[in-house]
Amino acid sequence: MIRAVLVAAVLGLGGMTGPTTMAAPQATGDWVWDLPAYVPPPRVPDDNPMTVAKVTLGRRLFHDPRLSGNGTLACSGCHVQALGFADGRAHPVGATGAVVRRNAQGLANVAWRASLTWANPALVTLEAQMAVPLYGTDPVEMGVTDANRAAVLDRFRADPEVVAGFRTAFPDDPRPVSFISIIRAIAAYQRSLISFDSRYDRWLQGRADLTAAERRGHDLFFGERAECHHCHGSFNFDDQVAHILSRVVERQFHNTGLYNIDGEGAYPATDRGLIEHTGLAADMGAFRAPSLRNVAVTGPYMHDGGIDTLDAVLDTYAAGGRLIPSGPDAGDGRLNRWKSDLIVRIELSPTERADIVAFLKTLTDERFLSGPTNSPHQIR
Amino acid sequence: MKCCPALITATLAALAMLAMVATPPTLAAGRPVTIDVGVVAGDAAIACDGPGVAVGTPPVAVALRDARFYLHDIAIVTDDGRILPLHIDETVWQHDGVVLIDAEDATAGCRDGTPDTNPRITGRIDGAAGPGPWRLAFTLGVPERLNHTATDLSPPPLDLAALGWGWQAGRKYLKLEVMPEGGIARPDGGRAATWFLHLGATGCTGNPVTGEIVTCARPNRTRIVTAPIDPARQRLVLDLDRLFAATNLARDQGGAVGCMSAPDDPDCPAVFATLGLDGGAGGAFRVVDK
Repeated sequence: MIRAVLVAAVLGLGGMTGPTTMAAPQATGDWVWDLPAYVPPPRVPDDNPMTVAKVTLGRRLFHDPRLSGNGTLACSGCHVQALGFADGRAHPVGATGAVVRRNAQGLANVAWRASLTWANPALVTLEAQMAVPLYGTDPVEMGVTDANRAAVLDRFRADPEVVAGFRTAFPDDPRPVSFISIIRAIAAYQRSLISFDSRYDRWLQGRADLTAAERRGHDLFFGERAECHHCHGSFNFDDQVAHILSRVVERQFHNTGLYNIDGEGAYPATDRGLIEHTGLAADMGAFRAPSLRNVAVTGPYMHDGGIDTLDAVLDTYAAGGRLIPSGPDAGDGRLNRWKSDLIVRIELSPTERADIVAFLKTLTDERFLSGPTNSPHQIR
Repeated sequence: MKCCPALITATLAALAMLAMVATPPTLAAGRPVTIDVGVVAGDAAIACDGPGVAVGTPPVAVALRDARFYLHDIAIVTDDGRILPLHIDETVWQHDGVVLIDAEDATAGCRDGTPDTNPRITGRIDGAAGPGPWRLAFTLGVPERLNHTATDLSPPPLDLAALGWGWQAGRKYLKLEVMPEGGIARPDGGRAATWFLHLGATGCTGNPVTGEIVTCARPNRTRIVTAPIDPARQRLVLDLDRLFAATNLARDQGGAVGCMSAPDDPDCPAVFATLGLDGGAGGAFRVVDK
């Protein structure tokens, strides 16, 4: 009751979307972070401050297939708003038809991620990350190359409305239609993809109730029996969060026992996780815990999109890993020697599993998935 | 003597050439120094639109798909051991001490490349090098201070998307790609067409608080000092025959097809060794007559 009164008071001051921080909102340029009290603003690179004009341009470009080499695929082709900016497929498909080896992650609250993609300690800014889909050749995603870069820019230069958007977003740049502007605008737009208006958030803020099953699921999720919170315990429901108050950030990657092909812990040769970067045997099969924001709509799940439903994910974790009885990937992941110590067999009744799934579904933010703030720009 | 001005001219030219050869070559302080650089396969030339050339063990005929590499910290080493830094000119191929050698011309199998090529290093030295022989010293790769910059924010030759290495947040120091005749057998039974050698820093870790690349566990930069070289009549070459001396290009042993510098890729140790990395003997770069 006291919480509700406080929240109402703050709401009156802070606007429509929820309580703001007790301190003054962090403004950069004309951008205001409108965040609940339990979320510090994200860090933003000094050379790419947030502005409304830049976010607006970034939104337009994010949804524009002209940004791909052959003009067929937009960022939104694999990051669909209604699906939490995931794409509903196990593996996305690039502009030239190449199949991407990892599942497209949702982008909700991506501004707070300490490292980007599934297992890459080198990628810590959205600006740097964007070189992977734009220019990557193994596999080709957007398919932008040295040969077609100028042609891609010419498409935008030929569109007065888009040129005006670049001029407004980058007023000091004499040649604003450039790839660095595109990268900065899209990164700014991605930082604006904020999802803290789920029923769970409203419950935290005293604006909604959870059902008894959802509350039981919440308690299991954050309790020491189901132990989901060890890897999904932050306000972003992952374990890699960076924000303006961060001094040091631990970036953890985990082997969750999905494979054990040779009995020595091997994951499929096509995707072995963090070991590809570090070369350390213990990093075999280690991936970043994804955010569970909007998790009900971001399936299929896991780094390879290999599990279709939340119920099946729960079954896998309750079993302490996955047994693949036959086929080329056969092996008992439960016995993977590099598996995280936090992944152990858990006795959960069918009701308890259902309760946890019910709780996970409270993380769906309907306004984020359909609201006008993040709606795709209409491409003519 | 009215009869043969052409003969006289020819004789004078021949005498002048003799005089040039007789004079010991010099590298003078402040004067331009040009070092020609190329890519060869043993005694054979290799070009995007040329015939396949056999390299590796056992030899396999390969066609070129890409051949570009960055060099930096370039110096002339005199016979008496002085190291004279080569101050490289600022051009579209050279910036801030870094040179891009580009031996692909976007023809035939290299169609994803760039039409322009760069077969040379140009610069000046502060002090006279004195009489030869000289050696050339350089580091293969991009220096750390420039390696992790965005291609979109960098001047040429650091602006090329193809030499950016997004997922490693750095650059490909060496992008050498060949297509063996008959393809490549993979350990999973599959086939591939292109053997990739992408050399670059790996194991890089960014700092999420500052948004910067802090360290790379394997910088993979190799310092090379060549055999004696007279830039007037000799050039530096990357010799694919030496580079792949212990590599069977028809067979990939695992990991990426070829070597993309992954620390545990079984195809990397052999080429790293011929490049002089990880304590290897080197030898992939050598000096040949023009």
